[in-house]
Order: sequence, then structure tokens, then C-alpha cells
Amino acid sequence: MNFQPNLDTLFNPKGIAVIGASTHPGKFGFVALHNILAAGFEGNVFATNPKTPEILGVQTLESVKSIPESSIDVAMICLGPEQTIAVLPELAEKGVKAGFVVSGGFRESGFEGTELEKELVEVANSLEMTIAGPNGQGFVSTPANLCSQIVSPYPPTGNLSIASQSGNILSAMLNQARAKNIGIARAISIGNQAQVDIAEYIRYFGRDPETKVIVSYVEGLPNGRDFYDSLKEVSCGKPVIIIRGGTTSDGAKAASSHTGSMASDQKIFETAVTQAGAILASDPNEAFEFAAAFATKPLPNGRKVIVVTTAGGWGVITADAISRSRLDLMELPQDLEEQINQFLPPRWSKNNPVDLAGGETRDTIPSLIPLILGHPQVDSMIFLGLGIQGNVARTYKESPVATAETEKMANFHISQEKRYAQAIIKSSKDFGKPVFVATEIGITDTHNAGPKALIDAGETCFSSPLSAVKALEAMANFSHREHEGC
Amino acid sequence: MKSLTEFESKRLLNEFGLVSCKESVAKSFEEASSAASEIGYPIVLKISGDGTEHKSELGGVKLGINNEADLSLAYNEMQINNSEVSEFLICEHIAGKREFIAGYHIDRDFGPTLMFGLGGIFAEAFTDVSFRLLPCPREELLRMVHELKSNVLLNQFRSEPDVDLEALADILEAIAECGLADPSIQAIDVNPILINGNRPIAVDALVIKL
Repeated sequence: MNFQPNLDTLFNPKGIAVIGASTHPGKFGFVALHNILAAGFEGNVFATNPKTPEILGVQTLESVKSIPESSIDVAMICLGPEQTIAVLPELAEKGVKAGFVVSGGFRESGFEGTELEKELVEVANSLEMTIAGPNGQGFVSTPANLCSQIVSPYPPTGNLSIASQSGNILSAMLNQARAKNIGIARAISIGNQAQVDIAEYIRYFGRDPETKVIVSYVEGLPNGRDFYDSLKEVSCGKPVIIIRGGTTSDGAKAASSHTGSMASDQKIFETAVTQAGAILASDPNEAFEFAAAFATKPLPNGRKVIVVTTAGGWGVITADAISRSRLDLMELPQDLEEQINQFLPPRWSKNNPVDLAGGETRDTIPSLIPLILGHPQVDSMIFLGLGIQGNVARTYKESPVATAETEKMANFHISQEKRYAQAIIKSSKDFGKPVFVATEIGITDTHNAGPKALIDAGETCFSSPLSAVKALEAMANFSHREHEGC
Repeated sequence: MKSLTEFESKRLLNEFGLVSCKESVAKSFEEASSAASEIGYPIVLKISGDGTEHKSELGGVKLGINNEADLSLAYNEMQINNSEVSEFLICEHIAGKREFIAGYHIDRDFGPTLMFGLGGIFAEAFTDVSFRLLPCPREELLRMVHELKSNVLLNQFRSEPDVDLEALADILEAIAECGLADPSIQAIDVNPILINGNRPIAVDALVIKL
């Protein structure tokens, strides 16, 4: 590519026009305009439609020519392929620097589409216009209150940015963002990467001050080496989490050498990602969990982890998972053991995992969390059992035989759950160390006071200790990244 | 695609610092015999020249030849079985219990890569290889060696000493530099690398050019 793509304008426009707006709520040209208006974009919004004077209260213009000079710099183009190419010079004349092309019918559709895609890129390059897509679902930029996409949802504001080669996988992650209250900065469905490819999005997120964590779903790479270079440049400063789709077909690889026959696509891709210092995730859910952890928690300084549990079995499972990882299930320091003794009857585990064995009273957990996390040898904590008391509260609250006493107890349990969540959030902040809470209750009962307090505060609540261990391991690896240049 | 012969491949790699077994090309039995005396028995006899990339399958490798009489027998047998072969390779016999493989390959997406892996008879049953994109710093070469699942073989093993890891990294560096120096090189196989005492020695190599 001969010119630098202008993604800064795409994600931070002063004004946007939906080209090919529609009156029909089932059509892309309507949904895009609707979403832009609904998310509260504060810049200029225009829409073109030759037949209708007004859509959703926006006065439509007959054509791009009627858009006032210098009022917009970005276009959301919801036209067919030929019309899209034809409208670019008119948009450039109005000052449009960047556009998103929704339409399919380009390279993905065969020979004619491939020719059209070449033309699209040539025209855009000659106009020095940045083109995202084609064949994509749009983009989101929460710092600009901009939801320029033909799908849902609009996520909460935050510092996680996503570039995805699949629109649906992007939507899935935005759904997770909304459900788990993890904020998003930018998100884009990159489509066919005709002009701007994945490496350029990663580089942009790398220098974007609103972005702290990057996730990308990748299938095909227009330029693998440039992708590797982009990961290497960005991974020094920010975690980049990569999911790969389409790794099974490997038949096309000619192997004249023994070495070549060993070099499967999957193996080389994984080598490239990890050698660059980026992070591989096995699927979009794992990628999102990793990203949520990076986005909401301080990096651990080392690999030493303490498990604190009120739920015996889960403690054992977690210890097993840690022993299979590159984390260190540290030995409980003698001085810490002696201090914990003062809060618990003698039956507690006296070991890591710290299993309270039901010996806790009103203030035990809120006291133990800062005590343990604050110990100088401890790098991180996994806390298990949040929501168990809230579970009892739910039963009492729903009980057909409730009494004033059960009601009182239920309220006590609920207030305790909130205290635990607060102690976790505060201690993590005070000591700058991550605490990973894992409980299925975050999913099974979203009203449970413990997990809910955590999620409302924008903290991640992991649904299983295994995923918490993996995310913590990814953070510890990143914290210890030894690759070139960092 | 054109392959260099084993002899040519090793000479090219030697220029980049590859440590390989002592060897010599012979076009007659007299030359073979004198080369064997110079290298010292036991030696290995191999067919050489064009079309011998898959020499093992052609019955073109005879290990552990201990004296001139055995050399004569092996030479005649090989000559009968491979009538088109015009030259032979006389190589130092390298003893070693541990076998590794290494290579260079240009990936269609990511460009030049380096491979290191477990070699020997189990390598076909357990694929245990690590890769790096090239160029990369020497620390990455040491890291890729440790990434093997069978990395215990690099430590003391069945009364054999720790492998000289710096020497192993030298071999990997030589392969990488050789591949990167000539864009017409498509692939390099160094198979096997035998661990003789603590010293890794390249015993066979193949350079494939465009």
C-alpha cells in the first residue's frame, strides 16, 4: 500500500454519513443509521436516500453531492459493490477521509468480485481514502459514542479493542462485553481486508491511547510477515491476544523437504504469535476471558499464586490446574501461616490452597484477603467460593416457609457477599496485585450479591477456576515476556 | 527444484560454521580405500551424486565398516545395486545415542523459518519439533531447543553427558545463516545431528534450491 491508512479519522470522526440509508428496519442502511443515532454520536450525522425525505428524524439527502462541504470525514457505505466504487470520488470531494464498506460481492464471491475489489482499492488509493471492509458488519468506537454497525450490540465503554475477520465472532465478544460489563474502546469487523489489513489495525490499536488490550480473530493473512512484525511492535507495550480460525486444512503445502513437511500452518502460526510476544487463545471465549483479565487487573509481578477457598473441591481442582501451568502454587510462608492461625480455628488447611474449612466468622474473609495478598512473597490470588452465602440467601428469599429469622439471615448473607467483593476489589487496588474470582454462580445466578458486586464494579468474574488459571498464566507470561526488544 | 548432493550441502553449510563429520568423495575403490585410511576406521560408505537424496531407500548407506576388506565388500555390493551412481562418500562413523534434526524452510505466509526436533526412529511416531521465524537472536535458538517435549535428552542421559548447548546453537545458527544468505535456497534438512559425547555433529544434510 502506498499511503498510510487513516484509522484515527475512521474511529474519531467529526461527522459521518450513512450512504444508502433505508426506511426499512430490516435493511442494513436503516440499522446502521439507527445504531449511530441510538449510541449518541455527537458529531454531524447525514444520510442519503434519493426517495425519502426523512428517516428516524434525520433529513435525508438525495445524493452525496447535497452533503454540506466539510461537514463529514467518514462514510458508512451501505450500497452495492458497483455503486460503492462509483460514490467514492464524490465522497472524497466532500472531505471524506475514511469509509467502511458493508457490501459483499467482492473477492469472497469469485472472479468478478475480485476484479471489483481491485478497482475499489485502486480508486480509494488514488483518492487517498482509507477503506475498511468490504464485506464487513461495521465498527464501534466508544470514545466517540459511535456505533456504526449493521448488527448489535453496542458495548460498554472501556479500553479493550477488537479487530475480527468474522463479524459474528466480533458480535459474540461484544455480547460478552455487555454481559460481563467489560468495556470496549474500538471494535471492527475487518471484512475482506482489501485495503487495510489486520496488521494495520493492530498497529493502530498499539498507538491508540484509548486502547490498553487488543484482541484479534484471524483467518487468512494477506501478509503473514507484516502481521508478525505488527505483533512484535505492539506486544512490547500492550497485550495482543490472537485467535486463529481455519487451521485444519493443510493439504496445499508442498513438502519437498523433511523440514517443510513438519511446518504445518498451525505450528508456524503459533510460532509467529508467541515469538512476537503476543498471546494465543484457543477460542473466542478464552480470548475474551484473557482480554477481560488484562483489561481489568494489574499484572502480577511473578508466578507465585495463593488459592483461598471456602469450597474444598474447587480448591483441589484449582491446585491441579496450577500444577499443570507455568504458575507457581507457592508454599505458604511460615509467617503468613502464623498470622492466618489467629483468624481461624485449627482445622483450616495450613497450606496452599488456604482452605478455610468452614471456620470463618463475620470478619474472617475481609481480614484474610488483604493479609494474604499484602504478603511480600505473594504475586496473585485466586479466590473461590464467592456467592455461596448468597446462594443460601436466595433460597431463604424464595422460601415458602420464610420467617423473620430466615429473612434476617438472608440479608446478613447478602451484606457479607458484598463485603467480600469489596475486600477483593480494594485489596487488589491497594497492593497492585490481581485477584481472580472464579465461581459458576456469576452465570447461574446473576443477581447473587457477591458476583454481582464484582461485575457491577467492572471486575471479571470467571465461571470456572480452570479459565481463571489460564488467564492468570497468560498475564504472568506477559509480565515476564522475554522476547526481543522488551 | 534442485538439490545439492550431500557432500555439496555439507560444504556449503560448513562455510557458515556447521560442524559435520569428516568425509571425502571417492570415484574409485582405490580413492575410497585411501580416504578411509585417512579418516580412520570405522567409516560409513554412502552413494553420492545426483539422484541420491533418498540413498537409504536405495540401499546406499552402509554403517560401521571396520576395515578394508569390509569396505571392498560393501563397495562392490553398492556398485552393483546402484549402477548409475558414479561416486561414493566415505564418512567418519559418529557414535551417538541421541539424534536430533534441524532444518530451514520458507513458509508461504511467514517466510524463512528454522526447525529443530527430535530425530531417530521415534521421530516418525512422535512429532516433536519447534520452529522460529528468521532472522532471530541467538537466545531464541536456545529457547527453541528447550521447547522440545523431549528436552530431557539434552541433559545427562544414560551415562552420556549434558549436550553442549552452545555448540547446538552454533549448528542452528549456521543453518539459519546459510538459508538466509541465498534466496534461491528453499529448504535445508540436517538429519541426523548426532550427539557424540557432549558434541552435536551434523551427519547428513540436504540443501534444496530453486
